[in-house]
Amino acid sequence: MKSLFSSLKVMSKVIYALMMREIITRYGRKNIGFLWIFAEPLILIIGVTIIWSYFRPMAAEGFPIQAFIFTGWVANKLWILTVGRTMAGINANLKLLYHRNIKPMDILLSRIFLEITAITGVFILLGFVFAMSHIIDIPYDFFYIVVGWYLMAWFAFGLAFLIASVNILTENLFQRIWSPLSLGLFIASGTFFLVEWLPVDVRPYFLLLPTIHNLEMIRYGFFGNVMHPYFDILYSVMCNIFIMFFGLLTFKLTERKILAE
Amino acid sequence: MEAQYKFIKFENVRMGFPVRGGINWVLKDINLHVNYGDKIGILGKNGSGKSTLIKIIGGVLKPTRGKITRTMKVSWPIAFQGGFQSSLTGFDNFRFICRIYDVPWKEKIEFVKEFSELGKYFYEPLKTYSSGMRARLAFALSLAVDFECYLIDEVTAVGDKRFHEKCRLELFEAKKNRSFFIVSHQAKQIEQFCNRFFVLFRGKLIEFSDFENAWKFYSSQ
Repeated sequence: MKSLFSSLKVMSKVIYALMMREIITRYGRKNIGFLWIFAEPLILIIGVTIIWSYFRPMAAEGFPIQAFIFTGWVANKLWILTVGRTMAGINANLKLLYHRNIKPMDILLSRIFLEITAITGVFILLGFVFAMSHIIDIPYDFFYIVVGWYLMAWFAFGLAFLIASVNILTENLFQRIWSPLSLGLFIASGTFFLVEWLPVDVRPYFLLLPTIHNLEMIRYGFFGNVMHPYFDILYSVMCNIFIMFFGLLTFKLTERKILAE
Repeated sequence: MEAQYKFIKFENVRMGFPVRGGINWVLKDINLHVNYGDKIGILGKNGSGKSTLIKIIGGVLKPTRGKITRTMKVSWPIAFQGGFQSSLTGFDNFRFICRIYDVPWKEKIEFVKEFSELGKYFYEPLKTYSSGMRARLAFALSLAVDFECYLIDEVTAVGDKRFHEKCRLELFEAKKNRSFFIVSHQAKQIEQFCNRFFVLFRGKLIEFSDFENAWKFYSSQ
């Protein structure tokens, strides 16, 4: 038991060190690079609001379009960015494996934690600013937002392990497939639509994606009864368990293939 | 821990890499017991598997077969620069190493600054460094962490003669009761610092009783 405890201690120190290193590299000292993470959804929402004010009639009067775009964009970016940056992070940090305390697992975990924390921070901060400046309304029920966001972060965690491992197995080939694939999933996950807008007979196919359940939950938390949400918490949880299990399993199988250069 | 419990032990270690038409066995059935304080010198031609062996000792690579027991704190290859992040400053890289190895950085910063002779550049990004400056920082960081066994892959001449002498003092005088693995194709350093002599030949690690014999075998290949 003592050795388990001391390895956990080493591991948490290493993960902390890796996160600090990445934060300073990406955001630190003399550059404002990290502001882009705020700018992207901000510009999008401003643009969409302007266009919307010209072409109203698509939805019922009073539909919260800004909150709609904001939730869709940021919630789906949570898993896209986490997966993409975790995949890139392994290749960028291969040489660090010369330090014996650093395991491939630490590199993955540090990236995943950092990404999820950063995007959650953007979500909270931008949401707060938008609500304060009356761009979006005060959310209807925070419970659904927290649960939906949590499930989305969990999904991001499992998928990052799975995709990063598949990318190692295919020797970086999967990376190329991932960018068009993720764009397709980004759109199919309801970034620009609600499930209730879809024809009844195609809804079940879209609802196979756990991300769309999570997003419906988050949006319901924001809009309340303006929309009719379609989600199944149990389905989303089962999907997350399944993906996390396969992600960790594939990672275990590929771990030996991760070689220091 | 008592010195007699500190060792590195190789039991039938094999290392192979997949190549077209099978596996290329770089290391074949290596058995080795290294005690605390042993200074191992390994001679080997280019491509004989020296760097692979160093990586296995350091734990970067896992052997294909066999078992390694390691009860010493083993360093990364001395003066290795691969872990550097060039958009970070020397100070940031130093902090990173300290965090990983659980070294209180405030105790070591004076040493690293003084030893690396970087002056103001210590707080500038590594991409502004010359290759000599990078090498000096790498050497200083390797010495900032206290290991029980040091891995040295090709003692490369870092900087000028004076700096070279400083490295020799810090490594082989100040830490002379530690264990060392020196892997090289140059004779001089191994003869000077080691007390056990090996030649890596066709995947086998052969021990010789003294340097003369090892050198004779090595140069007759």
